[in-house]
Amino acid sequence: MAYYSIANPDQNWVTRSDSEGTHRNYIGYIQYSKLFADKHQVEIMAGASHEDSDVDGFNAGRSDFLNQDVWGLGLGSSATMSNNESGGHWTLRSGFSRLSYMFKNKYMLDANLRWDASSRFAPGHRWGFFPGVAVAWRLTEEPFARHLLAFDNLKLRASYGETGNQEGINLYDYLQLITIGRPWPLDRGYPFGQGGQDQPAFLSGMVSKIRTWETIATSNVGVDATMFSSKLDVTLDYFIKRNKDMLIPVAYPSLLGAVPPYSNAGELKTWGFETSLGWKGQVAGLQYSARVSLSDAKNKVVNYGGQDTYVLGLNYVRQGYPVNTYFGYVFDGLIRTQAELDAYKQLQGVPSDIGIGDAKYKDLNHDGKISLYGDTPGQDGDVVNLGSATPRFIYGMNLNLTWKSFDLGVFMQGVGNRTLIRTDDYSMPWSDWWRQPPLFYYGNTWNEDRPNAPYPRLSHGSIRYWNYQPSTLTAINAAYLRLKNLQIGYSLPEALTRRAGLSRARIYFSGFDLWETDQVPGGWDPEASANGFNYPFQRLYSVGADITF
Amino acid sequence: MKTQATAARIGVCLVLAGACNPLDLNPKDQISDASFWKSPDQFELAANDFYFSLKGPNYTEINSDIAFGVSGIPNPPPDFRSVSNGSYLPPANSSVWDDAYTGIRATNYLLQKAVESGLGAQIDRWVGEARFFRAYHYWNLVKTYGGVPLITKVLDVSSAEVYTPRSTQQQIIDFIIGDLDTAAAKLEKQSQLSPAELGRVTQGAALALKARAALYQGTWLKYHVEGDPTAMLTAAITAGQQLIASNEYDLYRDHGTDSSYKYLFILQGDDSKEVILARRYWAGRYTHNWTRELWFNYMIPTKKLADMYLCTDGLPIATSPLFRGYDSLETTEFQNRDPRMAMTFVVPGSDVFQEKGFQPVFPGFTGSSATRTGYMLRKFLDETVEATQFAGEYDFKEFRYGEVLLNLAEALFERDGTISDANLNGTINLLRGRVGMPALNNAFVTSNGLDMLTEIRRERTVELAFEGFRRDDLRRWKTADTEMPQALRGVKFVGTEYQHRDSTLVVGVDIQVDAGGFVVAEAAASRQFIVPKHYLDPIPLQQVQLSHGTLTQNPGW
Repeated sequence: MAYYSIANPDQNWVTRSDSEGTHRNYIGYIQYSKLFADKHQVEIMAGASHEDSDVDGFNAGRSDFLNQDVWGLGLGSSATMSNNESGGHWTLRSGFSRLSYMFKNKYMLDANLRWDASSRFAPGHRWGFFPGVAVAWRLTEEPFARHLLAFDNLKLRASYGETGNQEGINLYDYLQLITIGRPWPLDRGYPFGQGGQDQPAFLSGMVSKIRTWETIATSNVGVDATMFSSKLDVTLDYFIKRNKDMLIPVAYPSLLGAVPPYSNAGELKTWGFETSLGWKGQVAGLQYSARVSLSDAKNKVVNYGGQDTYVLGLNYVRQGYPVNTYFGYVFDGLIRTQAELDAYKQLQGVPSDIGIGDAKYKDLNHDGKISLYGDTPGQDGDVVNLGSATPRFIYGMNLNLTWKSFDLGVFMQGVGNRTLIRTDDYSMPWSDWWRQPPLFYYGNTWNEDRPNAPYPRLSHGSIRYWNYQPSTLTAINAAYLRLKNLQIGYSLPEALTRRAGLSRARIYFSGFDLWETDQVPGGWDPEASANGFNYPFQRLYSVGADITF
Repeated sequence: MKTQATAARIGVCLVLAGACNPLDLNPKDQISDASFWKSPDQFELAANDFYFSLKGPNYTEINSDIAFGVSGIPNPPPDFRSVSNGSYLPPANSSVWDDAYTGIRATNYLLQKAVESGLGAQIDRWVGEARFFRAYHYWNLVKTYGGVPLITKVLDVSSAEVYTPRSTQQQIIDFIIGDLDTAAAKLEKQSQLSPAELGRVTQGAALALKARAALYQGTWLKYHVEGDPTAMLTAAITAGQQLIASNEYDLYRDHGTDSSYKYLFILQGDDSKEVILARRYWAGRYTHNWTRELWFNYMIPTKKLADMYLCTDGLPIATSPLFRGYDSLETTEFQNRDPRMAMTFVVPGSDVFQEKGFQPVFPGFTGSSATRTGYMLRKFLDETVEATQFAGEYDFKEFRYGEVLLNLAEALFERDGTISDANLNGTINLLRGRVGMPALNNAFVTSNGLDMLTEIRRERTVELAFEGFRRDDLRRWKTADTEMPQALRGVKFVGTEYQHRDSTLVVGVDIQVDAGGFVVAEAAASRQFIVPKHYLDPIPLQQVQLSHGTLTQNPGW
């Protein structure tokens, strides 16, 4: 008996669809700028804008065409024909204004105001007000700067600004809507009678009438400096970003009977720094420039506005923790002897088909059971914070050398700290019995001949879900360093190019993603998604020529 | 400068005058709730949505002792066999709980809008359907978890009722019966449905569910010694008798005694007189792949079910002289048995419809028909090419007349301690007659040393095998703690044609057998049923955690 056969190889279908979108944007502003007494540069601007978009789509389809040469819709069977249309529109209206003041090119002040209204919010919650201010002080313009000989330019800056965000809000968000027709595969309705296509009507989901803009307030202090005749430039920024009114899913008991709408109940704080150091110069015939940059940000869900709850594995939000934090058990090694097995089976929450070669997890709260939740609120059961999927310590290095006619460019980048846990098909060997396990498990799983193997024994049974659940065993360190770009070029001598009638010719070899180092098992790219469903990342080698006529 | 300023001024004016779209926008392809719920047609559309929650083809029976589940079942919980062997761990969340309360909210919403609309009797029918489905969802909850929180109005995030504590099991059953009584008065009879409405909930469906729920609670009270079962059993009897008296339904007999029972469950039985309510499927609308999945033996019968079928003389195999034993041929134990055995099991060598037509199939332990018990399921295997190609359109008949008869017989016996021959003839003997088995009567029971209750329960298990009732039956009879921990066994392997056909298998290594040479698919040592823990499922853990302490967990979890 064949395992798979093609479902009805004679079926054919045609769908025609048409869609039309219009996007209009009108902006108008007035601006006034003047230099007073040769010292005070003032600029004022005020304006308004109106933006809207309108999309309409229509489709129709039929199947079971008798003749496969002509595909006019009317030639298909009307028994299963379908048609549908959809559309949407939104509007955004804004007013904005800016004031700039600069004194003698050394004291700078910028203030701006913005009002935005979006059609997606209910009346009364539409308008958002977002101000901002920035100041800067160019120290090198000061009289005392003559003591700062090393600095060609030194500027201190600080700013505070707010912007509004309506990402994730649907077009008619505050209106309780009824949807007619369920999505595929139930799109043909319920077949009452002899093949009826009775459509269902249902509420489109719970609605919030009080949702409004998320406000993202960013504070920043920074230093820009250029030193030693512009050989060294340094930038350092420290920022604190607060997403007040963050739209978050709040967990309610299922007795509610519907998925509650995201509400502006959250607050996410992100803080960190960015720094960049560049050095350039010349030694003998070699010109060089190098740049190093490093940035890091931490975030924390300050206020979740709801229950403190979490799930095993990836948690998008949990109060007091960064976004996308993993929670999992602490792996305590494999069960290697019958005595260990008997002792471990005394704990509650341990599956009854556990055997020698399977994983043990620690009972961290010593309550005699391996459980996800603790018995009292505030207790976390036996799970720990395994790290966040948000990258930390992102760095980059850039080096450019030019010597005579050769030039070399190198760019490397990396991430210092990131956690990842594989999900779905590649989360364990034999996730389904027909799927080949990833290669790195071969020879590394426990059996009687390899009792010291790191991974639990292979199984097609339900114990494999126990062995490979999120824990310190399955958590992957996704930090990496990557040679992103390497370019070596040679510029042909002027004598040659002039004879050919060219002003410049350069040949080069260039490579992208040539090399990386990481600790991600299995050969997946460290930047690949958690489920491993990516086309393999490619290394790109190219050679080329730049010719200027 | 001047022209610049003028241009700018015009620009600002254009913007402020605005284009056509104001900020108050209404959707183009969806209706707002405020403009819905105004006419009976709209209520009908809303009621249509409830039907998607009817149970379709499922593998519920593997939670019991008469079926064995095999890895690969589509969308199983990771512990698909662990409910049966008692090793299952409480889940963080469960779709049984979540989907039921989502369904309950939808029905509460319709009921609320029905009152607000003032349409009165014009929408009685849809109100009846909503009540039926609300009862149906509470039924799925109460038989899984026992008492659950009772939500009777539409909640939003600020409602205090989101933290309702659990009602008792009796309160939920009473609520279900109340809803079904109201529904029955508002729903049409089966014969009153127009052809285009076939498949909608009818008075018969409300009565059938009422009888089922009342019998469940009556026997639960009786055997778990939690109260007087008389009221519940009487309610079950009344509902059953009302349904029978309505003459709306009858058993499916269109293909004679040796195949009607088989065809009832597949395409030929769709929309027959026996079907009270089914989850409907139709080509080009929505189809399923169950026949193909069952070919892979994802769900197979065990020896316990095989041994239950009576011999053609009406006697159990332990006492009947017609029983041929288990040795020699693979077909021996199937000879002289209740015809339903050959229609539920695949008798080795019999024809099974496959893509290329009917082919003889020999269940075995290796190869493409490998089964862990040696038995293969025939019931629910369709005989159309479409069903073998992901396009099965036979309905899943959750409510059928056969079950109504069984419920009535059992309720009468449990309440009165006896059942008259007349009542047997009106219930169990109709089912026996459909397959050509001899009638059951009190004289037969006495003269052959049988027990009437055992025979009633046997008839039920055999007739309703693999329709998802077994585990619930064992729990309400309070026999689960003796029946479930027994080993799951299969055919006799040692010394039979099964061993001859799969001679490479080494007993004790590739295949386990018991002292009598019968295959052991799961040994008793690996199975457990802890009392009272396993009599009810655990409330999902995250729900308990989110409930602010108002949800108490079931005992033992």
